[in-house]
Amino acid sequence: MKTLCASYRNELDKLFVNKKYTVFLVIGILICMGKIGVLWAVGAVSKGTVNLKISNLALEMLPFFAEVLVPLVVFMAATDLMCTEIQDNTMKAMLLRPVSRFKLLISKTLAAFTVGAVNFIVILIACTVLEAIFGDASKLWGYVGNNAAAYLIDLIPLFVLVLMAMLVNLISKSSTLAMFLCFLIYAVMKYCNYFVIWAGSALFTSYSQWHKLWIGTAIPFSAMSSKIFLLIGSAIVFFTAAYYLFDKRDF
Amino acid sequence: MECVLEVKGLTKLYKNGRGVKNISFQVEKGDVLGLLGPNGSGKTTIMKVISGLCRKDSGEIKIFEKDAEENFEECMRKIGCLIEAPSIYGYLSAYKNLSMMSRFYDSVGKTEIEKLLETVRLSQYKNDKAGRFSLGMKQRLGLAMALLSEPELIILDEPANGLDIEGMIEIREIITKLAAERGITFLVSSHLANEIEKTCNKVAVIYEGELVSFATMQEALELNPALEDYFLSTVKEKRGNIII
Repeated sequence: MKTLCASYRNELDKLFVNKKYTVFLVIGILICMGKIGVLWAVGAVSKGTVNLKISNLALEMLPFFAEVLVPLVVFMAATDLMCTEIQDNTMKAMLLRPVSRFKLLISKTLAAFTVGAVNFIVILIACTVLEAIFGDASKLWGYVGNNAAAYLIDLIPLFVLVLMAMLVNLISKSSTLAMFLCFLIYAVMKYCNYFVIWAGSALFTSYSQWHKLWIGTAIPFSAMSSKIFLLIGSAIVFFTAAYYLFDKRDF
Repeated sequence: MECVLEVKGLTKLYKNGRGVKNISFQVEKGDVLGLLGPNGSGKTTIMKVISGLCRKDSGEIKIFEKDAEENFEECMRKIGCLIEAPSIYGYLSAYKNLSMMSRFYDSVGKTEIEKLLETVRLSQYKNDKAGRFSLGMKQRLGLAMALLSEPELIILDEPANGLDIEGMIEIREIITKLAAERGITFLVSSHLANEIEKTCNKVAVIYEGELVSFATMQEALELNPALEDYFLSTVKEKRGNIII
């Protein structure tokens, strides 16, 4: 456990020293501010005829972050920790330490996931603060708990996405190709249900906005269990395949 | 004498057919064993397999009498490695590189890192990004990373690579001093016979993926004026065998 923690801290250090992840956090906050700005501008231009009020900004912004921005960030993190390190030969630094490849893969996965989770948390806090300032603060407290739960639930499919990104990185020979493949595979999985109907319920990417299934109307557990097992199954398949490739690889 | 490293029937072949075949040798405590061979002979492959960077096809590797693959973490705790070019995170400082690696060892703290940086003459550059270092400085930082955990066995692949004359002499002195004073065991590879002759007390000649000879430096120099001549004579013998 100690070596796993040491390895995890190292992977996190490597990511957080990279300024691009901070830039993406700032971009996320700016997008939320932009949304408020647009609502305000519409009201100002129409001279009050169209009055768009800020209502639950955090939940409104969640689909964009869960499906676009945060996946982009975790793909970058996974690529930085896996493919880039293999490519520039720095992976050896960790492999020559007393940490097994199994633990190393887990720590890399957790570190990439943590970056995504931090993004979610910062966006949630930013949206809540912005709404408290520019919106109706009295209503805000009514759904702040619900919003936190929604963000928390959406972390589950995000973890599976990180595992998929790790696998893609182990297949790819360059970091550029890895990023491209991550996006391509994600986009194909995400939107193939428009062409193949059954794919909508059979692929884990359909649940990137998982909170919609949990928050709001109650869904019977039997119906949900198949979706839970689909996510668990996908996670196991991705991790097993990634570990197999990582373990047998010569460096 | 305690056996620190035992390699038995090690075979590792790459897809192109190159690699090493049926390599067996032992390294005892306090030994400085030099792997001597031309470029591409398989020295690095042997070291990579011992350190777990490459998976072996067959054979057995025991470190402190324990199977290296089954007890990987335990074995790696006692080993320091510098294999091929040093693996350094260029966007981190020299100090940060070392402090990250120190997390895996209980006995390594700030004082040890500072001391190590002094040993490899990098103290004044400790806060500079390692990516801006010269080849020699990177090599010295790589050596510091190998020495970090105060290992009992140190594996150095072409440690003098990229170093100037003074740097080469320094590395040689560090190896000799650590072996003599602390009884640290070394496995060093080089294609320079002169380098091995001056650093090691035992030599293993690797040629075309095979172990051609294994001898103490004294034995090797008994009938030959220099290690270079010993190398040429053993290789000639091997070539002769192939022709026959």
